[in-house]
Amino acid sequence: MRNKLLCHTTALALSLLLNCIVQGQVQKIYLNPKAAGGESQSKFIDSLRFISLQKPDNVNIDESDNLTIAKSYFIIVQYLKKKLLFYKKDGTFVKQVSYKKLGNGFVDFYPFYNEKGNQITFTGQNKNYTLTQKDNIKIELDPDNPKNRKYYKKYVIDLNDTSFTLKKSTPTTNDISGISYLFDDDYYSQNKITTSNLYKDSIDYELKLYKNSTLIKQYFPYNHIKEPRYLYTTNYVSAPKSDNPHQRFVTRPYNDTIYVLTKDSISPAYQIILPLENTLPPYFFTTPFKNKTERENFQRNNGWLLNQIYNWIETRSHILFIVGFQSNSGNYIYSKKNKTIYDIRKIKADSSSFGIKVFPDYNTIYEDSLFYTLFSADAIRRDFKPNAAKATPKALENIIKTKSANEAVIAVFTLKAN
Amino acid sequence: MRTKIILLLLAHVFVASYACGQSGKLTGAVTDSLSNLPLESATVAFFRKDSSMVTYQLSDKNGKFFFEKLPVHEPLILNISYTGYTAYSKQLQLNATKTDTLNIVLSPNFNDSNAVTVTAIIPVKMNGDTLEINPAAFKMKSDAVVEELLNQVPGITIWSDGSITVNGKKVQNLFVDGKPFMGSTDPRVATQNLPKTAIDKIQLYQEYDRSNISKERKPQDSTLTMNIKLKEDSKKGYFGKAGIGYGTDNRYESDLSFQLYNKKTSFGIGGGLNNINKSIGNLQELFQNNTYRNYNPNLYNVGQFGASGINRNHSIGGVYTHEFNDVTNSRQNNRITLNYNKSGTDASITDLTLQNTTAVDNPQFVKTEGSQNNHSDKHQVGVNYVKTNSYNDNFTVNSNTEFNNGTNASQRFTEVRDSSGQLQSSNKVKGMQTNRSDNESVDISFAKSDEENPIKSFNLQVNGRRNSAITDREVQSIFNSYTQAGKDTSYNRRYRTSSDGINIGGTLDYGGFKRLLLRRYNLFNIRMSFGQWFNYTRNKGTNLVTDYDSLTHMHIPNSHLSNTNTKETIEYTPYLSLSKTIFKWRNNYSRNYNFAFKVSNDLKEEKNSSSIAERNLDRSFQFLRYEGNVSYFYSKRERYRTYGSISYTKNFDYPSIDQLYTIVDDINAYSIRYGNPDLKNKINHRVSMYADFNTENQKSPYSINGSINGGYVKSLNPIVDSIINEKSGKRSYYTINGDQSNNINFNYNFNISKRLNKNKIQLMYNGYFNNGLTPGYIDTVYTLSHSNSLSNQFTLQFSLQSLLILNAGEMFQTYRTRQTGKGLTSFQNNSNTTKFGLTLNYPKDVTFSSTLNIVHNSNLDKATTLWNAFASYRFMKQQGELKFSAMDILKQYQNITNSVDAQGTTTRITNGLQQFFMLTFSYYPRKFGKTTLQKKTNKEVW
Repeated sequence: MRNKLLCHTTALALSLLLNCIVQGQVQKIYLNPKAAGGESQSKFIDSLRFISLQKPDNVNIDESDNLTIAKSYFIIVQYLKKKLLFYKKDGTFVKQVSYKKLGNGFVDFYPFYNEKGNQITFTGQNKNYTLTQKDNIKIELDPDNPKNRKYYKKYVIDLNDTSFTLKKSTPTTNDISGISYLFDDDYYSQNKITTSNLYKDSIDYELKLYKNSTLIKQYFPYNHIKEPRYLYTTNYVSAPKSDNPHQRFVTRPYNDTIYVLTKDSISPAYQIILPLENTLPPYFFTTPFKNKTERENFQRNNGWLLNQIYNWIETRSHILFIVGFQSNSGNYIYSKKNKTIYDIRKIKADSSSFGIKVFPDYNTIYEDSLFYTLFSADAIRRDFKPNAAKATPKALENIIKTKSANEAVIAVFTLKAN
Repeated sequence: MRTKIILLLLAHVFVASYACGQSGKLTGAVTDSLSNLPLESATVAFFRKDSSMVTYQLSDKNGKFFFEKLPVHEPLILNISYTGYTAYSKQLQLNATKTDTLNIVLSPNFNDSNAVTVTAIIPVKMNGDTLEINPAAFKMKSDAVVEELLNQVPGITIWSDGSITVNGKKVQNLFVDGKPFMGSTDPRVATQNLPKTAIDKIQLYQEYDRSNISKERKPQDSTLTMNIKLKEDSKKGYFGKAGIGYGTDNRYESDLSFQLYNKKTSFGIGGGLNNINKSIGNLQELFQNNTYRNYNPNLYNVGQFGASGINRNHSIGGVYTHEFNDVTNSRQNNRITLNYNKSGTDASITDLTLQNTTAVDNPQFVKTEGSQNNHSDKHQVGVNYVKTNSYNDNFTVNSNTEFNNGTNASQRFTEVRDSSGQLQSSNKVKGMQTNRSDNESVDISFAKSDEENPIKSFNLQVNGRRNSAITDREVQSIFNSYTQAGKDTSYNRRYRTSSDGINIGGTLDYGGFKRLLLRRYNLFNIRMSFGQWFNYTRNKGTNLVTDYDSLTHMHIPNSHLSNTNTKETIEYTPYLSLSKTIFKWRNNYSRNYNFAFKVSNDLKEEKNSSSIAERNLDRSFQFLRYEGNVSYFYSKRERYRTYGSISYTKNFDYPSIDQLYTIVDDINAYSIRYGNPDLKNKINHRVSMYADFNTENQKSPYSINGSINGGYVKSLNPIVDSIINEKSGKRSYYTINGDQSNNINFNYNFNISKRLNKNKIQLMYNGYFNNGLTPGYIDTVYTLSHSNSLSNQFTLQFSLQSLLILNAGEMFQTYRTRQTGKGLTSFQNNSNTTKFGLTLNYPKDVTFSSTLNIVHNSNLDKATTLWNAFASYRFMKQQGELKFSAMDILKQYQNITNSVDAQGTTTRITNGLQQFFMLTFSYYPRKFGKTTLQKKTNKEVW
């Protein structure tokens, strides 16, 4: 026990030391959520084009539908209709697949594109069982036990197979343990943070890096049994992609630093400096909540204190990110040149994009240095404004001129270099 | 006359509506001066020159706004504000013929160090899932209370009965700083007393109903909660009312209501004394009826002309509430409430009762004249303790003790005549009675659910009751028969009855049963709980009856009626409940179906020990019961929601010892009751239904809601009466089993409110329908007794801001009873009441109000009219009030009630209040925070 404490303390001290050493290299970004202003959309976007999605009979794309991008396909996920629509990248319709479990209960069977295997996987809990948080921990502590596989279900659509057949698959140890692919061919990470007295070892790490199935590095130690800030909740380290395929950004709960992770190291790159009124008080990190209720009350009564930074997308000129507060959130874009932060919700579409806000609050995908946003035909008709100085793209023109046409479009754009 | 008044009122309403129609329009957009981009959610508000707000909007995503129905030919101030920008202000005067357009460019306020803080006064905003109302944005008179403020907020309707709906949904809980105010969640004490200037903000949110802990959570089970957040400097204060009045005919009244509070503690005392039949016995009711609000006074918190007799009422009591924790949310509670109340009445009642009673070929007409003097006193002590840590646990202890004593002296003279008017019998009864009783009860409830540990989900309720009563009664009864010789009776009988009872019961509903039984297996998502109900009751009674012997001049024990009886009942019911809910969501709607089934096994043991041999009886029963329920909920987002349910239950009743072996006492010659040891158990099949609907469209000026609640009961082997009208004129009731009876009933309501700028018009409709079919025998003739009652009531209210409030209402009631037995008579009576009410708040500090009730009754030749009028004047910085009341101005009110039962109809005429005039002075002590209300400024920034 004493050795563990020593080990924990040493790791913490090293972490702090490392933090101090690299602090000088960290770029500070000052964000005042109340003061973040708006701008014209044309100040940001570049190379805007629209891809028309072919519309077969019995297929309608609504504003609530989501876009996923695979190697060769656009995939429209219709949670409400329980369907997946597959399109080629030129907008040609390929196939629709009905899947009644899609997004069940808001937590299970979300489509996840596995770029390594070029397949869509759906993993979720077997609805014949109800698992509590303790059950999940017990199962995760024994992931190799074949009996535990019955609690989960997994389905796969192999995108190399043009029949797009939904096939039942067996949940793997990685699925049960929450280990997911990170980068290169063989690097995986586990980033779930929980506390429980079911754990025998009091030390765990927020982020664990695996090479294939071998644990090679662990970062950010915390008390697995009673870390004050993680009691009565489950958190995840977020690891959004970067333009460099060999690295990921990393953000942590209740932390304002954005790290860059490679297979060899992790280093802080940015720090979001918030006003004092959005900053977590010191006691949050040291004084444990007495119960789940006390924690919930803290969240409800301190809605604008930092929770976590998500979706860190960095281009050459801008950074997009979401700040999750205790019970609110904000979407922001940072201009590297102006060193100014804008609130994405306050960014207005203008005539250069025909009145269409291609920068919506959500549902924008960043892939291979391009941004993609899905629009239903109704949304285009509602927002479209002609621009006398600019020819209307064909994808839009078709929708505007014929009210019967219901082809959806995908806006593709980049961000201006300055 | 009535029609004219209705037409006049309607004309007024339409004139007002037309006046509202003469309005101006303004459209425009708000843009940023630097980027020329539209500014979304900029606050665009119109004020009058006195700074009172006319209306407001938030600009849309294109920065646009559009106002209709703005006042014309009147200078208005347009104010546009946006966070971080310099506000724009301009004086305008609109005319009705055109739509004005105004495009406003706002410049960023770089110099203002506070530019990043929200300085705009935003009237209403959403904060997460909470709607927040900012009182500072509503310019009102200094003494305006919260209710007047809520009346100005779009989407909120204050109904004429004091209830509040928000987008059609009723506010069920009202908290102040997250806690019940003065120990009560009824909105009126807070909304009609707290001044608008003491309020920081008003929050509205959905809250989980703790009564459903360990049950499945469904959207329709959440309750709409209003939380009033007080300003930091107003978290302690006091308010109340002390009034005293004296009038003609020696009428007097006094009311006291005083409450003080701080962050954790509140204390209120209340009481009164009157001889005008004004109800003051209930402390919470007294607080609710003596609030500071005066723009729409409660016109019916006055002497009750409908009450029987002349009653001198008195009461005094207090309630103390203390919160042990510091939090200001409604999830965590640790609170004790203590209350004490003493109340009593001295009543003097004379009455004349006229009954039509059916009998074979010879309906009877019964006339009773009576008088009585009653005195009653009641002491009540209550303790309530609540401890909750979250929405998942609940611990409450509720304890009440009540002491009652009373005396009654009465005499009645009854004459029974046949259809030709021939006197058949008479009965003269004189009675004296004293009684005293005490009741103690304690209810403990503990419920817990934990998603992380479902095996520990349970709901436990335990209750205990004890009561004892002693009654001494002396009755002199002289019965004379004019149709059969030798049947006259004369009694001078004394009864001394004492009873003691104890009851212990409990329910344990175990929600963790499924987890315990099936572990992690989900069983198709069917919810399962196992419950047990236990009840033990012991009632011990002693009846000592003596008859006066005129020869010996002594009271001789009556061995036939005197008895001791002890009844012990042990009941145990295990039950299993299964339920499943199917949810469906779409973009703009959600719906769910719920199916529930419950099977129970009632095990009952009853032991009756008596000094009367035949009443010594041990019985045991076992009933296997089942019930089911199907419900449906549909909500179309920001449009409407509807809910419906239908359920079926089956249960059993067994006959009581008093129905089997009745101790026959013939002192009341018109109700001599006999038992029947061969009675069978009754089986009840019950189908209940409920449906409601309400709109939720905040943008609509209309708010509509309605509900219907009904049930059908079919009883097999019901216990009914075989009535024998004896030749002597006596009436005997023999208890028998009928083949089956059934009853159907519905009650329903429909309410619609329309906002016309700051004016409102409301129509409220409610009614009920009841139809019963009961078998029985009357004079050995089998008859099915159809009884039917129908009531419909309409109330129309028009509010011209706070200046004028008009009410008009009509209530129709019909009672009907019909017999299928040959030679038996059917009866019917109808009544309708037309009501008018008016409140005029003009000139300043003066309120005139009046009510007019016109009652038509089919048993009376002429309508009865009750016209009351009031004038009040507030002075002493709005804290003093002088009120003049003129009651029953036309001096023609008669106190008449009608009722109907299987045997016929009854009309009862009693003495009661008659015309009087009264002058009342009331003082309203009020202080919120360190300074008094009048000194407060109105500089709130949000």
